[in-house]
Amino acid sequence: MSLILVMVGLSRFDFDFASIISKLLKSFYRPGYNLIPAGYLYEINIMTLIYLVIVLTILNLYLINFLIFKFNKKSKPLKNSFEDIKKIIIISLIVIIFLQTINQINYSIKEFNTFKNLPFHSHRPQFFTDAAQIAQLYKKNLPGKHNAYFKTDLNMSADPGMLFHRALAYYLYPIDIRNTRNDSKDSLIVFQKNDPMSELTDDWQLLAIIDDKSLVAIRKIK
Amino acid sequence: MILLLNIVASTLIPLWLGYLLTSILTPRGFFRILPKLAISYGLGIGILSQLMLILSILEIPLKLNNIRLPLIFLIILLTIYYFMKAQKQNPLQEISTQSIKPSFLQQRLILLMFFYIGYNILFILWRTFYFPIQHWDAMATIGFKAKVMFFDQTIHRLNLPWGSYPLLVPFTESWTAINLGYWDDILVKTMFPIISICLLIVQYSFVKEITNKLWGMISLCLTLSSNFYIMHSSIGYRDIVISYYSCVSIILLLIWNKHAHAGLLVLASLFTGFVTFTKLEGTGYIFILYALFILILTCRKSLNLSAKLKYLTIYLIPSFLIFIAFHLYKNLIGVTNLDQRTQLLNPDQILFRFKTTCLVFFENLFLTGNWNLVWFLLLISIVLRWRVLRNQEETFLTGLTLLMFFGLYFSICTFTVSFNPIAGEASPTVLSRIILHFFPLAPILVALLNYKKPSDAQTPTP
Repeated sequence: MSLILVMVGLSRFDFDFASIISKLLKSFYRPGYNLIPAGYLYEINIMTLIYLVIVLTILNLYLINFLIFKFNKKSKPLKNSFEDIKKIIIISLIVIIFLQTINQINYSIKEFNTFKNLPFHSHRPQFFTDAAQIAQLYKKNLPGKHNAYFKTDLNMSADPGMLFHRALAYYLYPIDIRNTRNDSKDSLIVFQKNDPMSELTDDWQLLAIIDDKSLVAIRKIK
Repeated sequence: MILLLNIVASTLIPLWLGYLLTSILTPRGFFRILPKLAISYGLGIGILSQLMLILSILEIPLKLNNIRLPLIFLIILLTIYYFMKAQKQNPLQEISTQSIKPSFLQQRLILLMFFYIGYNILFILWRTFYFPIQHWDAMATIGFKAKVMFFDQTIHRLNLPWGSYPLLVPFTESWTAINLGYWDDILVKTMFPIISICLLIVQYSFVKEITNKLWGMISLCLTLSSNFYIMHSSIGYRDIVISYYSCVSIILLLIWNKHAHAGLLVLASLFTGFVTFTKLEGTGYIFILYALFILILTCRKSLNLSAKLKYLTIYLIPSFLIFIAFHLYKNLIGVTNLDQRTQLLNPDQILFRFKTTCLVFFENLFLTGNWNLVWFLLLISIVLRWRVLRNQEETFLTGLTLLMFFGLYFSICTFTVSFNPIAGEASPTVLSRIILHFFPLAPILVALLNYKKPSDAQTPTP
């Protein structure tokens, strides 16, 4: 009954049963970036709706019980109302877990297809994919352990430049662009810089041009 | 095959070390095999990380043999000691709980929950070993540090990003890579699902000991119904690890409260120390754990003052040594984390901030997809089973600890300028991650509150 009430309430949002079911199936497991936001059903937080269903169910239970007791004095009142509240919450929990599990399975199938037929080591990150790919290009041309200058026009003191720089630093290591080793620099990484060749002074020997704004070089041996 | 063997070695060596130490510190038969292993793994990687810290301080390269040989030496010493001790010691009579056979319906329910738990564990393992490190902190700080340790075999005197942060997790990740012989973005995450499963095992054993199998399983299902817990068991953040160490510390203290065995207290103390070596927040948690222990001691009327002082010393010394060692080293080399975040707010801002703090906590606990209905269920359980909370010791202490965790962050958010880094719009994940640190206490508490002893079940509930 409470479900019906909620559904009727939702009808003002152009009620469509099939669409509600579809949205419900997607609302309980929405893995975001390091956070699981609640799903929304017609712009209403799904958890709010769940609490609403729980409260309405409890009220209905008491109402029905009151009416039965009022008109049929022989009937017994609810034995233990607290226990009933708990049962209602547990049923809601089971329903959520059920929907959540279906969501998870759907998500897994979708994600499984991302790397389908790819060998284990070819699984690439879904976030910072660019950084991972670019790092591979630099590492291919500058293999091994190096301390590099990192020259870019990106603003590395704020996002998204900062995020990209940190991600690139991770994927590039053991090429150190964060000055972790605090040692003299033996290489130069130019990334997304207008006129990258201007960085290439006499000290550097060009190893590769990555694109028209990026290159990699190594210090000339004197 | 070799890959598998390397992974097994990186897991088994700390596990073995932890197992021996747990066996020495606790009476024979005190823990069943699974909880013992679950405690041993955490203990093992805790000791491993301390060893790696010592090597780093002494500027000894973090090479496989430099780490493995002292570990093996320690294992041999502990094995000899264990066998010498085992000969003297009588096995403890099994600590059994009420072994009332579950009803037919309960058995079916347990079976169903078993499948649900199994499914979730498989999901965690799949996510861990299917995706490489790709989340921000896992990559930019933890993974980066571990990669530096692996490639350079040093911590560069903490000239690392967020150098003041504790190093247990990066050390363990680099240990896995050192064993593998190369850096693998997927396999270095091996410790996270293991830690998560270990926490589930310890949680189940604890709840089962106080209640029964059914409620033990229910508490696990509640934990695993949290999307956030599942996610963090696989992405390579330190939050699930600190959650393990803090919750196991609390559980060990509560078990000590029942069995008062000094060895158990040493174990709890080591875990408390490792809390501080996992995340900076551990520095705050150590005081919550100390407060919990002092409360336990105060409530124990059977102990005289000198015994209480003795136990307090046993608990304080190992944890404090672990806590102070890293902080001392950091300060000696000039890497500190002192900033303005502890600055107090103006009194006129506090009321407004109090309201905002209440709102963000409420929203996070009840209106996100992170925790399912667990916090709501806990709230209802506390209201409906208030008497149990007051009268049952473990329940009361667990509830109080949970309250202290909330109180700590609530106070920080309300009274200091740290609201934004914790719960502000620019840090959308921090509050959820902080809540994860003590989240397992909520399902534990739900189980403890709602369990009815067979004797109670016959009397009507008030």
